[in-house]
Amino acid sequence: MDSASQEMDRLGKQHIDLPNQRTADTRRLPRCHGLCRTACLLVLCILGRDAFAEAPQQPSPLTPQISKQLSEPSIDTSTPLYEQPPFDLLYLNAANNNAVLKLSPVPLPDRKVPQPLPRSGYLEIELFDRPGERYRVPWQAVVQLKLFEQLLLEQATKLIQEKRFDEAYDYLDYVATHYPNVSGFAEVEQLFLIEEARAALVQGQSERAFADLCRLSELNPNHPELSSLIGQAVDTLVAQRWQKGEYAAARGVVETLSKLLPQHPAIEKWRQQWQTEAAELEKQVRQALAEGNARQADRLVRKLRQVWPQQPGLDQLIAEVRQAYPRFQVGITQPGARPDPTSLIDWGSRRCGQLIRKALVEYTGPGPEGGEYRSAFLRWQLDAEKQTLTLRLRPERPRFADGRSYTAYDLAQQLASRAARHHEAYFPPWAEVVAGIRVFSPEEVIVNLRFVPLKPEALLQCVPVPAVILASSAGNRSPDVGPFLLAAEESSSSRWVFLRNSHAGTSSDQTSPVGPAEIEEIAFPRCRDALRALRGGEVDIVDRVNPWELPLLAEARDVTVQTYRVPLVHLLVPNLSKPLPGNRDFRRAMLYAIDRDRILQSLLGGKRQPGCQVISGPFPAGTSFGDPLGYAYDAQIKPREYQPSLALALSEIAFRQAQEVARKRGLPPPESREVVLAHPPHEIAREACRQIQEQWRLIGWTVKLVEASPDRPPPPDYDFLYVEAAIWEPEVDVIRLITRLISERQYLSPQVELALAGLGHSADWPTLGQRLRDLHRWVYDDLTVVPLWQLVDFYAYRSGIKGLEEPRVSLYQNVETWQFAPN
Amino acid sequence: MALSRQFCKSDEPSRNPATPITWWRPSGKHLPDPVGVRRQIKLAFYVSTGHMMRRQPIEKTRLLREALIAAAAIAWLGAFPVVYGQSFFTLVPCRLNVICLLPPEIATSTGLEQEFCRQLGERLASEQGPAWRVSVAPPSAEDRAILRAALRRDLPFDPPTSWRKVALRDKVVVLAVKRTGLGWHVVSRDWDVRVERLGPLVEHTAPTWSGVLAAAAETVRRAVVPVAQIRLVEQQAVRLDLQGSLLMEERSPLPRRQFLALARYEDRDGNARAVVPLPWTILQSPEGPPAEDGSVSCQIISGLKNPLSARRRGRVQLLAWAVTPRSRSVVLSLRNRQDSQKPLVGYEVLAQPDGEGSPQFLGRTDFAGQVEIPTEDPPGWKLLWVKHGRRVLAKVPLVDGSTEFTELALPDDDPRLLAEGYVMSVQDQLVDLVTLRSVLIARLRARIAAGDWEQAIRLRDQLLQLKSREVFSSELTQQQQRLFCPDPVGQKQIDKMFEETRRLVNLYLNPREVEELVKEIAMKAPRRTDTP
Repeated sequence: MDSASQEMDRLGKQHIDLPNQRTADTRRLPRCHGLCRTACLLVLCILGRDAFAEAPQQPSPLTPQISKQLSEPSIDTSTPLYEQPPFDLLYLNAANNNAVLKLSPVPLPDRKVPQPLPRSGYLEIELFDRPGERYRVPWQAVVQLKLFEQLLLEQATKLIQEKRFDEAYDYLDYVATHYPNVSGFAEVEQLFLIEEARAALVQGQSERAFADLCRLSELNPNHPELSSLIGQAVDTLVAQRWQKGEYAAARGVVETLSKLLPQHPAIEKWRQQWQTEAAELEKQVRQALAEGNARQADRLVRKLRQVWPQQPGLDQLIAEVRQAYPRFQVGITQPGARPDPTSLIDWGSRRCGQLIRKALVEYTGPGPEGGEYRSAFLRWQLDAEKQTLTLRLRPERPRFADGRSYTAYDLAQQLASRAARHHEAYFPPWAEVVAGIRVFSPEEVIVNLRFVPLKPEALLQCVPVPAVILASSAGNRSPDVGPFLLAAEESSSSRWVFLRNSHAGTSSDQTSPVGPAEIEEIAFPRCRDALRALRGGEVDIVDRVNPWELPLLAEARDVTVQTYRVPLVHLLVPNLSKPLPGNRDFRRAMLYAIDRDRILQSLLGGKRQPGCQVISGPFPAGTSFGDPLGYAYDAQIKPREYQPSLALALSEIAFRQAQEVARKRGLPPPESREVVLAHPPHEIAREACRQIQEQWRLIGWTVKLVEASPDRPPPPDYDFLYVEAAIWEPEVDVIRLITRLISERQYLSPQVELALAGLGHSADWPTLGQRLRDLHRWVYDDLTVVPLWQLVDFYAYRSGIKGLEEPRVSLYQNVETWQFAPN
Repeated sequence: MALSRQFCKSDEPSRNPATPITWWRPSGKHLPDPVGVRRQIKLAFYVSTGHMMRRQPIEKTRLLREALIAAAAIAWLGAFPVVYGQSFFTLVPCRLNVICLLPPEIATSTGLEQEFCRQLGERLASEQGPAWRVSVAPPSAEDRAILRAALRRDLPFDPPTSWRKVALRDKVVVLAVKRTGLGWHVVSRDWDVRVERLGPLVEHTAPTWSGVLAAAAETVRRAVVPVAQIRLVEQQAVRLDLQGSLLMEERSPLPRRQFLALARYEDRDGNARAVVPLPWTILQSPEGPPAEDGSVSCQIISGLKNPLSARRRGRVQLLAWAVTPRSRSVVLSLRNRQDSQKPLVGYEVLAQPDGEGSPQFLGRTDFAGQVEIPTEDPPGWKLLWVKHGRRVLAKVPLVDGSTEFTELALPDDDPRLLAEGYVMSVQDQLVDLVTLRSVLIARLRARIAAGDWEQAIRLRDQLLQLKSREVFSSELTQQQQRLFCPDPVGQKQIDKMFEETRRLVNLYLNPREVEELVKEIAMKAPRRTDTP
């Protein structure tokens, strides 16, 4: 072996041995490890350069003796070829013992082997296993030279023949990425597509087969087997989708085929079939209308629109049916498991609660002084001098589903139970105000007050419950008393049907149009799916659109997007009873570790939205300058900045403190740097928490994400709970939020407790505003809740629906007045 | 003389022989009680107390005679080598008037009623021996009017004047027998004349009439609440002289009990002008038999500093009345000491059952300054802690279910709490600042060492932008001037907190290190040529 080879061997050994020479200290310090590696590379480069400088300038001739020694190349078959260092194979003639040499990639022009092989001259090679050992091979001795990319294609072909399509795909993907100009690739790819499609059809995977054949038709529309195979795939796929009721998707398959192979017979076959079916449906719709079965007609006409939207006169027919039976389909992503129109943190419950359980007093939006309210049940009158609140029931108030009326006795008992310390409905701000309750007449209740609150109606937000149910303390049996009733027998786990409540109170304005006869909520796993259904006409409204998906609706002409009137406040509520989140330094550390601006921008799809901003406290900051909603927010308090290095140091300090606290309390001390972050099952929360997880990971904390429905108590071991809170009447809602989420009050900051206690006694709005801003300051200092951002939400609906134009706080706020506009 | 000094200690030397006389051994050392001496003491007191009970109204001649007898007794006892630190109270039998209310069918039959009363009296007398002097009688017309209120927990009770005369009796026990579907229901309650308090309601059932007598006797025995005179021994310990304890046939072990301490203010005739419980004070007796002198040693548990040693005007007796813990929750109210109408809201209440272990959180006072105190199982007593922020405002004992004290007046601590919150916030800022400063300094040193002057200057600028010690101190001073606490203790704590924070600021925000780095950069960093 020559001196150059010996030197390379020595260097190779040195290179291998280098990692073993690291001391224990360098292994412990990752930064030093990086430095060492860089230094080692530097040394290697210098030594290597010198070594190459000593290599012979001219390659040696390859003698038969040498070729005999090298004729058994070692190729690793356990690792895919594309994961191995590239090499070429050289096949020599009999004079060289038919040797096969494994070479480092031969530097041919454009990596193309000259065809036919030259008869004179030499090929310079470098042996793969002996880097730097270069030889000259006369072209005459060469029988074949196989390049690495050809070897890859050969292996892919072999895998295709063995029907190992996933592995073959990886080879083809690698070749397409790294050697796009290799000859023979198109043939192998077509072979792959046709063979995989054939196999998929046999296995019933018609969707995959269709996708392969579509690609094949782009590559080679004249492939002899394409037409028959794609016909089979389309027939199977369309039949499957049709059977599932995915009419638009089925039509989409045929539309795709018509673009690729316009003359394919399957296109005409299916179109003919659908037209026939549409004609039959139209006939049934007209028959149902004639029989007065408008509900059935509505269902049929919706199906008709999906089956064949090009049916002549369809728009006219739809308008006719809608006139007879106004039915709205709403796409949702958060079902309301426990309907409650007054829910603070559960979007779904708040939405569907408005349909079936109307609140005694409803919040309709921010006003110049606190919120604005309305009630379908009562009128209220405050006598500040006598310190009384008179509640008169409306004669036209809604009735319960069983036809029972809500009486003054029900109201009095309900109000009394909200003031009773041991009752589950106990509401401390109400108990503080109330001195006595008496039924003045069957329609009137008088509440004697200890002091006059600024907004007494804000304290009356609850769902009417009959006294008999209150007395039996069956809290979960809140009866339905809303404009709609849930038709349980027609509902499923993904669809909820609400029918108009015949007992609901008649509107005082008799000339107003009759609202929806039926509302159907359809749950979609992703907002994107709901939007697709909206564009396709499957649903009329989508109740919540993710801000980053708004561009999907930008070009949809028949869809209108509106913002909700008040934003939600997004917070992390710490589990104060646990040592780590109970530590103030830890909470601060975790907040410093969240780049809230960046996450917010990501949620907004990189665009700015008015009303969306990072916040420093638990209150909404308002959507514009001077927005009365932001009266509780102290704009002087700036949100804490993103400081990962500070977060890292603080979290370490807090971790040690928490371990000591846990030992003192007799709890198991936190062993690992892991936190559990619970969040509602919705995409916005999911995405935000995923990004928080990433950012906390950067400071060395592992985050376990847990989905928890907000209508249920959070999992017991959670550390932080992500909530989207509707803090619309800060004076009352912040108390409701803390009462609901921080059950163990001993861990609540006494300053926050003191500030909360002072809110009810505010004599005027400026005083209340100042006290709320003081509370903001205390919450900011203590991080009782970790403020993230406020986010404006959006809803989208198909144009032609009246009643949804005005911004609202909740989707069904004026559901009784919705109607379809005549065409 | 030690004896006269001890007499004077009870506020005023009593000229009323009814006032218990405390006897003290001159050396103050207790010695074992020989049986003979004990018998002689008993004999002497039978004579004196029997006389005392017969006198009414008190006359000057009688007073003189009683004083002479007392002097003779002292002289006689002084002849013995041992004189005991005990009161006569342990030798005074309890005079018990049992008012027996029987069902109408029995009460109408005079003979039966009388017979029942006689038998009950005999039974009680035989059971209790000389410790009780029992008389059992049907209710008088005057008594009947108030018996109903006496036997109900929820009705206000105002006894007739005769029930308040200590010269007539020590206790009135109301006993009622009713027929129920399952037999006979016997209920009894004790009215103590000295402490003017109703004891707990004691109930018993008997399936047949033949068992009613035994049940009635048992009910009466259980209804009687022990009363004792308090003897101050040490700062935190007293001895209780239980009434008639030396007259008991045998010294049976007593359970661990809690006593309420009361001050009885008397007029010249020995009748109570007022009986005032010592607030938030209980006396805890250990389990076991009383001492040889009939007294029980007790630990004082109180929210006050020196509850028993306070100077009181007039004729005052310090009495102890046993409290029975009950399984019911109590609502505790916290009021502002300066403004009693103002509730103290948001104050933490914690409890240590039996005054041991770590305090457990019970709740925070609501808008009315109230918090519910649950009972333990089995009921006992607990030491309540009232906390506000980091300050412990009070530690008071509470016997489970006792409604004797439910309102606690405390200083308004809100201004101090706000100051505490502010100081905590400043300390948090300080922690953040010091941490960030350390990180920046470390990075700056690394950049200087690497000769990366551009980055070093950038980091130096960041360091110089951080809040300085002077700014911190100035803010602290301004805020301290704004905060005022009317409670001097609270104000003192506020000042202390600010001082401590100022010390931390000075300690951790030393500008020297930054100044040195700035100098080093100024010396070593290459000067920019493009700057004018």
